[in-house]
Amino acid sequence: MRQKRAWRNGILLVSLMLAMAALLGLNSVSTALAQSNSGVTTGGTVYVSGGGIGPWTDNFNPFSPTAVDPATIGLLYQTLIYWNPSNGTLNPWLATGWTFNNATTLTMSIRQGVKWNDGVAFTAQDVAFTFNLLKQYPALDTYGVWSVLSSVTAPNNNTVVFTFSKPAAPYLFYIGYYVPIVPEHIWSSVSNPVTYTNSQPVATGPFKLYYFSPSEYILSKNTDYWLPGKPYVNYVVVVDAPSNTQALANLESGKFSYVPMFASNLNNTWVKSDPTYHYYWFPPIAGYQYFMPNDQMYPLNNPEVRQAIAYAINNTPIDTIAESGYMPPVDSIGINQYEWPTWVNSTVAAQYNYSTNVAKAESMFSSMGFTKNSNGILQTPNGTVMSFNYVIPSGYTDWVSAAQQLKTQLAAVGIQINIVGVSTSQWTTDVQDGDYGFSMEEAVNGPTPFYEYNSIMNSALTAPIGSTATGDWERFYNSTANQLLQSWFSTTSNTQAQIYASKLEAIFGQQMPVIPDVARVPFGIFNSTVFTGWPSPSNPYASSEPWQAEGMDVIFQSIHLRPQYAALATVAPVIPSASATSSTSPSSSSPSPSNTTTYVIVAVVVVIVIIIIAAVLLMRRRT
Amino acid sequence: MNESGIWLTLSSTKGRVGFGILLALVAIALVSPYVVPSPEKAYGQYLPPSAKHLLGTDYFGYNVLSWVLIGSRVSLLVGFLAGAAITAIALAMAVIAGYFEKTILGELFSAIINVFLVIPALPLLIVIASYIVTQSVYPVIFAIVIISWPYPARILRSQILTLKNREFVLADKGLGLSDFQIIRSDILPSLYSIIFSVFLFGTIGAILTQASLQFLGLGGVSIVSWGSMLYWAQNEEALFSGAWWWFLPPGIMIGLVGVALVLINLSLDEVVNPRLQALKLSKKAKEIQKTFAAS
Amino acid sequence: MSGRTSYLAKKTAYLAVEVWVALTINFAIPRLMPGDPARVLLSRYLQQGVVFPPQTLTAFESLFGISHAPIYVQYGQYLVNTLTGNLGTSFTYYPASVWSVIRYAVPWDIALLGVATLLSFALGTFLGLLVGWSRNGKLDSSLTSVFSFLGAFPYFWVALGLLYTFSLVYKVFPVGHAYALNILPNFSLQFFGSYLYHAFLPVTTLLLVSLGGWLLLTRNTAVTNLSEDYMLFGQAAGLKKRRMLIYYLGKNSILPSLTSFSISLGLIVGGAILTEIVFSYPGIGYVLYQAVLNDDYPLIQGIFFVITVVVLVTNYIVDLIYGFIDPRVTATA
Repeated sequence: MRQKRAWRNGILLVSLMLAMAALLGLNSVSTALAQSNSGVTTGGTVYVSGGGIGPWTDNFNPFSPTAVDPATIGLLYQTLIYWNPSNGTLNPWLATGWTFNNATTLTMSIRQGVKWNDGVAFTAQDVAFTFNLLKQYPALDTYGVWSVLSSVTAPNNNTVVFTFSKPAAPYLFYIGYYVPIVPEHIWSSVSNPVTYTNSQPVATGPFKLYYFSPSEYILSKNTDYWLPGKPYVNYVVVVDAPSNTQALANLESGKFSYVPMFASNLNNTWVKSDPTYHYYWFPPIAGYQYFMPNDQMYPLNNPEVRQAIAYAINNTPIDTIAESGYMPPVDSIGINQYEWPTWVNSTVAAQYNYSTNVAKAESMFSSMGFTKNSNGILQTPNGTVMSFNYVIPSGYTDWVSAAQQLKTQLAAVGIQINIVGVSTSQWTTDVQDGDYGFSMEEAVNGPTPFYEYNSIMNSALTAPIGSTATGDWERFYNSTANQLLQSWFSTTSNTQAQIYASKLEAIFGQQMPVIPDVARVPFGIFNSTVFTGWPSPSNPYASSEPWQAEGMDVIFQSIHLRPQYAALATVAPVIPSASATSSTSPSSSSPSPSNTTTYVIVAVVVVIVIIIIAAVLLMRRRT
Repeated sequence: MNESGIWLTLSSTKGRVGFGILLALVAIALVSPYVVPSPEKAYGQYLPPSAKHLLGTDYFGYNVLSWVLIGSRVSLLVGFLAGAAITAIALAMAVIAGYFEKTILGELFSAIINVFLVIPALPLLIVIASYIVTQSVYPVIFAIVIISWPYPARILRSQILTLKNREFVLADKGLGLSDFQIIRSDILPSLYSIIFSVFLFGTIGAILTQASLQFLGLGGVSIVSWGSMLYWAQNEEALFSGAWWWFLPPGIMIGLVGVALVLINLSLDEVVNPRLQALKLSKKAKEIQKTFAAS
Repeated sequence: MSGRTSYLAKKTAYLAVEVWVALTINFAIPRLMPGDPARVLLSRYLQQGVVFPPQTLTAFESLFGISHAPIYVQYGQYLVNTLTGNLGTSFTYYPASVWSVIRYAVPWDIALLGVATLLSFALGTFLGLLVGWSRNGKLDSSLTSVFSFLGAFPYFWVALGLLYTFSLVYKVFPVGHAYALNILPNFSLQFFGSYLYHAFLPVTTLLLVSLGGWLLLTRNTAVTNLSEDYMLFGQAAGLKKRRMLIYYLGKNSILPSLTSFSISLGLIVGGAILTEIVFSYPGIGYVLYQAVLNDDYPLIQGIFFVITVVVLVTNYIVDLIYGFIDPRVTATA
């Protein structure tokens, strides 16, 4: 259950998603990806864990939220731009370059020499077609790009022009990174692209669908891939591992080379068993989680009360106990200092440093006129007891565990917490409607800190208690913060952005809309014994867990066999077949899954036979 | 077969052992919060069993023995409360469905029992539990009772159906006794041992169900109990890390409660149910043979 | 014959009423629960980082069959859809239909629980007769106690212990799945072997905890029957022990278990949630657990509908067989 948590990392929840710094990445065009493949051992079959979300449904529609993941976007369908969260850069992908001709016209150059995996050439027309498909079917436009676009055209085969209805340069990020490009020659004849399951995907990615079953799927190398020589491996086998135990057992046995999930105590188990080749990489770069008071609820609506609570809290045990020591505590000014070191105003950070100080918290409460009642619980001057429901999803085990730490810490100053574990959907509803005293949330993560501040402090996103908010869940209202966010949104100057950021940091630190907790991390556990070239601290070319969009393909086209395992180059995965020994030729299309109907019929027959036996027994009794 | 029959179980070794274990556990549950160090005090992570921590510490650094002893409170509370409620509801449903078999009400209650019997219990429980707010065990007890009463109700109903046609019941009916009097003085006394047995198994079932629910993360994972210990042990892969001292004790304790109750039930069978008592069949058959030979 | 016809009519009417009640409960449960399906859907998308204009939500609602019609209209639509086999679309496995998800999972439950239930019933009944015959002997008290005690331990705890010992430490058995992934399900010996290898641990653990129930049930009936006159006379007349055990005691003692057995058979399609979670077995229990975690109402409803109907129909068939065999049953109808 715990790996599910990671799915919310790096996610963009807000509708006002504008960040000028998305433009900053434009410069770094070449990355390690374009390096030549001399001296690399090619071939081989790599096995990875597909996480506990199977059995899969045969759905390769890249616009469907329930498409087979991680294959559909990345390994198969690709986007125009690749965002690498590990170093914050935007890189050319299916687009080779982009410029804003003016505030409302974006021109992109489309990569030449790319082929769809059925041999048809990929052109700018495919890009224009894809965007116009989203316009025609708003259900496909899940990132809302048409809320700012007015037209998308392809004046020639290698240029696409995006015309905006209003200046919204930061939407480049959504247009480039979140929209998978589909082939016009296939999708133009699809009658309903919303429900289309696309069981034979034709895409531009480094791999092709080779075999699919609900518990395992195999991708084979796309020999016509546009990056010459890549990918190095011949096959990627993604296996459903419904339980953590199963995933870890397969990692230990050496079957899986890559398991993108959380596991506790890895230093003492996984790394210890082979420190040279076994590693995990959980970099603290995916935003942060925060302890969220309801800012509209008395007495939590008083910033001074929130400051005192911040002094009462110690985030270190939340890291070491609830999060296995993987998630270091973050500063109290609304920014993950590990992710955005250059954006932190150190003066502000030092000024609003709420390092644990129980005595200070207690003196703050008593100077506000709070007293302890006979049960040792704080009371406000007007008699309100400081006892709150702490609503969290009971499936998020690390948060449940953190809640126990917070409960103990706050009890020490006289604040009573009732932990209320609810279903994930109930929790979402409670948070959206403001029906909680305390809760926990994750800051929205994007290519600049703008997203974090916007999701927490932009009161345009919030709503009164009882109405549905789309952001600012704690219901914080501050007009200065709103203006700063608006200015940050409109500027293209990095210097200006830094100024707005440090002002927001100060407001955050002074007002404590929420209490920042620990950094969030992507989870990647690796066994580099046979295959090497995985993302690592020394080679951060991709996130260690790139679930959301582009990224998986970057990893799987970069890994390759170690030379000493060259003998494994020709090992192909066995296509499941009627007989495990017979090999199917790789060119054949994926075999149809088992005929379950036959089994149902057989089973029904068995049951009937049993009933007949019972009947015979009964009849013989009478004779 | 009367009330004193239940205390007769103490005359058998099994009964005495069963009651002994149970009393010891109840004593632990009552006394432990005042004696045992707080389960929320953290020591070092995964310390193996030692003189200081008899059962070691868990992933969070908590003393496993504290959790095991204090966790007994929740299991016993859930078990006995749910067991009693299950017995009461099952009995009421069974009397109406069985004794008043021929009335519309009886037919209706029979139909209700039949429908609830075929609804798969654990899946239904999981669906209910996923919607109830679970910082307390009482909603969980309620949900367990909802899914657990039909099977004992069926057993009791079939017993009542047999009983109501027995000579002594028919005779009392002939004497003009009211239905209520007959139920009170004829039916219920004959059912005491079965009712007690239903209570015992209802209790075991409730303890196991509550633990299963917590294991699935649906029964309030922040409650200090054996079920939540197993949940966290599994969640942090305790066995993978070699921390058997975290995983084994809660299961053994749950089993121990069950074993105590099963022992009491076994002794109940021996003492109360004359048909299950040791009859030497061959001895009796020989007597019959003699009778035949004599004639 | 008219007695039988009216018996048939009565039982069929009962079946119809029971199916209707089950359908109605099924309809009511998700609507009685807090949280509205549209909101659940919205939260599901929000959690994936997806933001879209309100009209898209309406489009998805119609796609998933979420209706804002008056409750009686919804009820009518639901009855018609369900009875025509349209169980809707699963949210979790979208765009797969509920029916196709169930159809994928059920065969594995039959393969696992069918075997476990049959074995457990056969073994438990046999042992029950045996210990009933030698009641209060050494065999009786030891077997009865051992199996009663086993049933008192949490199932998942026993299963996890065995899984850890035999799959992780000694690596004798596989950690999960229903068969080796390099074989496609088919009727070959090889596939059957792989299936047995994967089913061994789950079936064993299921046997350990369920055997006791059948054993005790049969034992108690057998002990009661043993004191019946016909047994005494049988022995007095010098009938062989084996003959008496099988023909007289056996048949009369198994009968009461058959109703329970028919319910167990029906419940096979309900899966075994804990078994499937511990052993990562791809059955209905696991799917239902996923559906519950994801608030997948159509799937929860569909699974409950299928289970209830199968159990009811199995009971109906057993009832009919009883009726046609035992004239006393139809006479009272």
